Amino acid sequence: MTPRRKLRRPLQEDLLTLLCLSKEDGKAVYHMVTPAHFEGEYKYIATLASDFWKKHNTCPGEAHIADLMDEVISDKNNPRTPVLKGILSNMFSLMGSINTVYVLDRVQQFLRVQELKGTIIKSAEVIQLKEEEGLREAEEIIDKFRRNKQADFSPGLRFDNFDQVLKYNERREREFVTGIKELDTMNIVPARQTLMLYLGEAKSGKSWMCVNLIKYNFLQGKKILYISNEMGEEPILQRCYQSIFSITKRPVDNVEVTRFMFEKDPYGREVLKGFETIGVVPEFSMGSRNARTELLTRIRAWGINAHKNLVIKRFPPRSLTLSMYRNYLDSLEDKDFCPDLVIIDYPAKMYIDPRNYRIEMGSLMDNLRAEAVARNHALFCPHQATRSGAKARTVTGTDLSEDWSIAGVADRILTFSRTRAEKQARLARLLVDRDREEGDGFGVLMSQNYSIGQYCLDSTLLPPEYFEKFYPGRREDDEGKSEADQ
Amino acid sequence: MTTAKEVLGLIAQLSPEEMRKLRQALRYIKVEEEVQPGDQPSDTLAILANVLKKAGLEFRDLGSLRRSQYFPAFRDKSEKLWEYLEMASSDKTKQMAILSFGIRLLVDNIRSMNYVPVSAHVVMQQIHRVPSVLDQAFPGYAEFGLLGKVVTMEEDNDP
Repeated sequence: MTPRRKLRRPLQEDLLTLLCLSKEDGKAVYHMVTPAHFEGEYKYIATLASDFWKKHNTCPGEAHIADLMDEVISDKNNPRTPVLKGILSNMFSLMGSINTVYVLDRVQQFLRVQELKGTIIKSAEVIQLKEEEGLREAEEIIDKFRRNKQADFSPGLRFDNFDQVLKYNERREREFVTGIKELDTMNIVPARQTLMLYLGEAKSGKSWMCVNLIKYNFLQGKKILYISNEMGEEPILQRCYQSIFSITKRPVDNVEVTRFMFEKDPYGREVLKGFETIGVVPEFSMGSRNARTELLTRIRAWGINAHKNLVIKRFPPRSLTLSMYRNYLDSLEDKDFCPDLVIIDYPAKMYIDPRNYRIEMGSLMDNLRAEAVARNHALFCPHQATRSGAKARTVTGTDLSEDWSIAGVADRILTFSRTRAEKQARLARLLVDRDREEGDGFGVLMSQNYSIGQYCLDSTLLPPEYFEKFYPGRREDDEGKSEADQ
Repeated sequence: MTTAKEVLGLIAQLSPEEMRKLRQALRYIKVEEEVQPGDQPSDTLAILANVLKKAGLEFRDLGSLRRSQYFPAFRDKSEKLWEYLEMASSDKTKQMAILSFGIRLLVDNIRSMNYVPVSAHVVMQQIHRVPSVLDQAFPGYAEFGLLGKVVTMEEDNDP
């Protein structure tokens, strides 16, 4: 049980005034505090006002507050009458001069301290009772406390806050990139407080897409956290070097890459003329004798804080719990590293209760997204396609493995498809399956070469009908939905 | 010199085995008349033979393939196949390149079915599956005019 200490008297008075007389802020007070937080006659008035809120969903106001206390204040012989009248008079004079934000902030501090006390006591009790066995439970209690700190009582946006909307759009359009021209142009990019899901079959290069995101956003000076539940930290960093410097893992004489040839149509637009294979000679490889010198020279030449903006962390598969993830983010924040973009490769390899795997999976994704909202970072997660998706020539958003509700959690879904023949031709397709804010339902054809770390060398939009081919009836469904919305 | 009249007169005297051979010979003559080099079935057959030869699978000459009992059905299927090729590209050279590539994929596909040995006859029987295997390898590419471009690149890379 959380111990309750009373609020300081001036604060009680301010809160009571808001609770009784303010339509706008009284509701926040009603939800934040209970009559038990008040003392003496304040408690009596708070009880009456809270009951009024509960019944009428508004404050008693100047018109009714005295009526509520009529039973007491109409009795001149009652010793409480002058006290209550005094409080009422104070409230009326205070109203209009209260700094609401300050008062609510103070209350939040007060409640937080009370909650912390309760948390410490509870977790200490668990440890005392169960010792080592109670560690996880105690961690959960502390974690619950940390999570609750996000409670936000700001009033939210008003209709005339267009500046904030414009700033939001500007930031969203410029902040992150994918390095795939068509997606960047259409703004299908990671964004703060959103989850971008990338769906592909096993061994199709999901981690390469992550590395591609690191490359382009790291070069823009973004702080990136890459959490791997599969590959080791060194191989990932090696892939980053390969991607950024276009180098191979081992020395080779020549690497064949597929390039797109474009020509201008009569309207001056670039259209795909054909494909060609060209040979490129990497300047060095990770296996070269001079690899260290080459890397050092290049990294130094950039002159950016290369060592500061990227953190790659590996957790063993099926070991990273949600609370460990939160604690890890907290520990990074303590070291002044607040990531702009978090890549989790991939959430299905985090710890999930095997007894309830599918439900837990959906809930995990929901919580990861909630964390992105709370900490204001962009979240990118690859996810594996189902076996049928892997067999299909084109992976779609319905090929999500484990829990289909994940599709509902994600703000945008990209699907990666590549047949064996396309792999040999070094081609692949990306479909924008879903985007909550921007347009979806289109595809991109791209050339790639993983041996030199290039997820996307060239790209072009697939014709709009292409998407329809793999999602028959999807557009009609959407049209029906928008009609219903209207 | 035996006249045609004498030959026809001898037909009645032929044994059943000799009659069977005669019927077969007549069919070959009919096929030779119907299929002229340069038409679509012949082109298809020539490409098929070439692909099989390159793959080291069969070295039969075109004439013997034409005389095969599978040829009439192959000819009909070929005509439909060319409708697909014309949809995929308007350029005759690209059409032939797509066909060659498609037959290669078909051979791979038949190979993947472990219980079916690859032979010219099997490929001839399965020739109608070329559009399907092409679409499996490059989904939607033919419809949207990309197949010719990809195949041209693949053919260029082919030693």
